[in-house]
Amino acid sequence: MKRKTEMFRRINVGGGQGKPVTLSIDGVSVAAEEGEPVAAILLRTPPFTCRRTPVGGMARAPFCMMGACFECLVEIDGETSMRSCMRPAREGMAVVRQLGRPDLLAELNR
Amino acid sequence: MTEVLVIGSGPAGMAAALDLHVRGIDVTVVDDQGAPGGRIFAAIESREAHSADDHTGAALTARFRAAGGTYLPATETWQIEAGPRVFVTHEGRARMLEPQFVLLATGAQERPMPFPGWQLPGVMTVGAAQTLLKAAKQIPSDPVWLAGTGPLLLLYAHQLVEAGGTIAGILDTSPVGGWVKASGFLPAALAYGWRDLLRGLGWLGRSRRWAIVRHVVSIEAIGSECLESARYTTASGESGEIAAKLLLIHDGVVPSIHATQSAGCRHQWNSTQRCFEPIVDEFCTTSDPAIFVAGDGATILGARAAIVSGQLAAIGIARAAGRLSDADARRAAAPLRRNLNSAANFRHFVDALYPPIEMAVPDATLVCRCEEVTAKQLRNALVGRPELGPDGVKIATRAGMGPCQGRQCGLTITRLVEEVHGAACQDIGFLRIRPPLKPLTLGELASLETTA
Repeated sequence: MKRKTEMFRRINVGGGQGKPVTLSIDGVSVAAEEGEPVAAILLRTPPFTCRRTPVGGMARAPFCMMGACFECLVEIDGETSMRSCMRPAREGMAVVRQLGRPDLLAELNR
Repeated sequence: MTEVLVIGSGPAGMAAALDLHVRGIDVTVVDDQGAPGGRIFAAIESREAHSADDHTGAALTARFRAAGGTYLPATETWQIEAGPRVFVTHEGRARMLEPQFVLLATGAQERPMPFPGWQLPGVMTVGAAQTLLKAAKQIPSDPVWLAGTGPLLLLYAHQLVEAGGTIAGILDTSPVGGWVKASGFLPAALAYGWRDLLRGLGWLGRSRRWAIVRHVVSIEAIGSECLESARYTTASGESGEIAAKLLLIHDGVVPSIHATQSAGCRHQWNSTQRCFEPIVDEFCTTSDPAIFVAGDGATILGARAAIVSGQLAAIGIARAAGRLSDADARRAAAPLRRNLNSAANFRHFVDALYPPIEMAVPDATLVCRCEEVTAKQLRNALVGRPELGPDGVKIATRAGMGPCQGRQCGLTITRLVEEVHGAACQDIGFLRIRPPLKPLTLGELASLETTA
């Protein structure tokens, strides 16, 4: 089921506004601010999840935002199981949601 | 080679590094985040300071930057061995550091608050929402429900309203009679934190406008692919259901002990705060004389006390390094200890007002989120097996074996052993923490330079 309405929205609270950057999530371009955690962008981007678990295929989303829960794992620039809450957004970053158990044969052929 | 390696650049780590620097001791600071500040002062350099604490944090961070010591951000510590030897990775490269002393200033994490459905997208911690506000300037789109207890929950609610957000309500798990229990600690608490208490009262005053369900004793998150609603029951047996796509949960904070556990430091059970803490002496030394702990990683006293604790640890390290005589160290430490004692008195008040709740864990709860192990599986594994402790039940069920390495289930596993076997948490202990403390790739491991 895809959620129709957003969970989070951005505000302008003053302070330094970062440079606008464009990264991709599953191949779709997404506008963001340089340096903000990738997990924050995932939480603003439908379906607001980051992966399906390798154990039971459950949908998961960022949970602790401090690198302690390992729920926000995604592939970033070809490296799998990166904690997206610990990775600052950069121009051109390629983020891919992880869907269940990695397919090792597909990895090999890539 | 650096004399002292400080792990963590929150208030304790920064204060310790500054103090060591002033004493002419060579110090290197590593932090897994990309900028100094820790959780409390996250992104402090790129946002406006809103409170007195923020101003303190901004000033401390500026002094830390200006001091010009070696600071390695975005650097993960993945192994700490006796020696001490510390293994870190930065931008895909691993290296080994062999300082004379290690100061762990790794802070706290939120206490796991497991209930059925807490793994659903849409359930997040209050601390996570606060980090989103600080580091990504983002807030819940719609009026949001909070669930749990503690000062951080109230603080975030206040910050959210200040930032233009809206609170739908609070499923308040605080027990009946907290103020009565806390009032005995009030005089001592006022001396240290009357400003904090005034602020807290302001937040409580504001909270009157929100829907507050008091004395909530159970919560269940409902939804198939994401949160759709939450059911609750209260101590008086009332029940209800709220529609929610986002639920922010919180049950206080506990020391992050993975680093001290993995370093082999001895720990003790804090029966008031219901968590494990590394055992430290009057100079913040752990059971390993080369490893020190400061800040909330030692015991939860908050950011202001963490700064003082960092300074105390720096004195302890200078003393252990022979750079400060015992008499001078004691003289320098005395006012810091008095300050920490006052902070502890304040904490007694907070502990009485907001004790850890640890709601009952129904069988259907996914205790280990990574390996998807339920409370029922854990209880079944433990019943009739008094020889099984946290590590035994981990082997039997895989709980605690996933990528988070028990950070989200470790305390619950200890609780369930306590419940089923009736043993004391001090004797049960915590999962044995093995390296690597954070996952690393084979490529990173292969890049290891054994001479730092």
